[in-house]
Amino acid sequence: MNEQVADFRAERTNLTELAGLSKEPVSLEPYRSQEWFEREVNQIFKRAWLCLGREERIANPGDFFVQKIEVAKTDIIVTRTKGGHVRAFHNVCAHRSNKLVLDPEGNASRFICRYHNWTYRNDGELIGVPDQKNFFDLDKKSCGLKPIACDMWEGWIFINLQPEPEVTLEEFLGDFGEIYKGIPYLNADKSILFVSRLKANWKVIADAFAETYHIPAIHPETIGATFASNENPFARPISAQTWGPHRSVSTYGNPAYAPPEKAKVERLFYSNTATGNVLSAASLEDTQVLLQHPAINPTKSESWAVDVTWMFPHFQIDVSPGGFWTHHFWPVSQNETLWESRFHVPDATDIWSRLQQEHYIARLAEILLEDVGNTERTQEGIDSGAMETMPLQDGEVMIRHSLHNVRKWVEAATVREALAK
Amino acid sequence: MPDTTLPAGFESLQPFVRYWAVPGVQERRERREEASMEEITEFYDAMLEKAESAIKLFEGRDLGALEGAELRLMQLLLALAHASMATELHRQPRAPHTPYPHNVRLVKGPPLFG
Ligand code: FES
Ligand SMILES: [Fe+2]
Repeated sequence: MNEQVADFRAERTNLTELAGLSKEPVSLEPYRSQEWFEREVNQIFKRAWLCLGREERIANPGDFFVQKIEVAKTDIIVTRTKGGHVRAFHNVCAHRSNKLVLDPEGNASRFICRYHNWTYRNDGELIGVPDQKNFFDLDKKSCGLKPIACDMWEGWIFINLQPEPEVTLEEFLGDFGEIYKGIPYLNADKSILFVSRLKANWKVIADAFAETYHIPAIHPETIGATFASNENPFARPISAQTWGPHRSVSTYGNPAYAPPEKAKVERLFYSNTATGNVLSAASLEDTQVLLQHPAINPTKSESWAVDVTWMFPHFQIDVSPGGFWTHHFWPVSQNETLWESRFHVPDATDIWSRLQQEHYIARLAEILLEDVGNTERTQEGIDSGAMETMPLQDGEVMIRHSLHNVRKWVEAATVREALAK
Repeated sequence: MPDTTLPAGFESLQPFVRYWAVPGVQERRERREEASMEEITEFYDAMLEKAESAIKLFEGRDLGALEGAELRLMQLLLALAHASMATELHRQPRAPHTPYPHNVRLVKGPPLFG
């Protein structure tokens, strides 16, 4: 890891230099080339460990969800076995390859194929074959569900589409996996979900959540005043760090923000200080552990808003004082992406916290639309071919680091080579 | 005719029930997105005036047990949050420069009134 502390008050910050990255304009080809996209699918999405989300989604034995990875033409059953282990299988029946599980999620100790009723236990074992005698020495043991490599880190579920992953999850995460250990994920079992299919390259959408430079321009009314101030008018980040292919920036929050006079509903809905902000409805103890964790708000700035952590290749975790949220950027085609954003919010059961929550979600929806609503226009501009490259400023360092590592993986013959310094 | 009555004292809000008292967050959001600024402002002004007394009515209550007239009032109160996006933030029905229609959707809301 390289510790990168910059002073946003300086003439120019030095995050890019500290990350050891070039300052040249970067090529737009990776955002529009069909050939490049196919290489990304094969070299990145079929080789990297991919985070699917929190294990609380399948908290109990028998719980499962199905994850589709369109670019790999793969449907995955992720399930918790009786023994409490999280396992992943291709959602394909071993008989004639029919799709096995049709529900997107649920609880089942066994899965029955709708075609000829072959039955599997949720640990993948084939346990029932109607009229088995009429097969030819069918060995049930060898006809179980086909497993997919699956491992856990800090309650996050990862899969790897390589039949034999070249590196372990631990090796893939490297120093990042060490430094981010022990973070409390508040309300991990409760979430709301935003989804959209967008006509833009997956990196265009990921980039939209990777820098704060855009905030005063795109979000002037929704959050402009909370992320920038006279002291930091362009919402420069506080610090940035990189660990192998993973990266993080710590973003600036205006400590003096208060709802303006005209925001009568915002003021009313947040006026009950006894309940506090719905965002901070976490237990005091958890909040303390979070705030004291060395990886979170690493400079321990008084003006800290959110840490945006981008795990290679397509997953971001955002941690703020009162809670966390995630973004998945699932490529569908060279210029189409399935974006999923989960915000973990506490149950709001009394009138004050429920009203705050409604206001919070209503505003969130506006912010997210401002963000992703812009991406299709960006893609059109990129596709027009008018520009060969884009100049990136220091606050856009995560985008540069992403492209740098995407190129490394696309070009590397082995995963170990892609991960090498 | 669907029942549009509200608890006593909130009769003035009855004209808004049919459009604004809807079950989920995404639906309330869509109502605001589809409305004109005039319609939003009219609802916003009327609801804001009654907001504090509505909150009082619900203080200390089990919100999961609300039904009928009370449930409709609760949904109206929640819709005020959405109306305020237009009146307090954008000063127009939807965020400036955002596409409409769009398919950026809340597909899973909170358990209560989600
Ligand atoms: S394909 Fe599944 S039982 Fe035949
Ligand atoms: Fe944004």
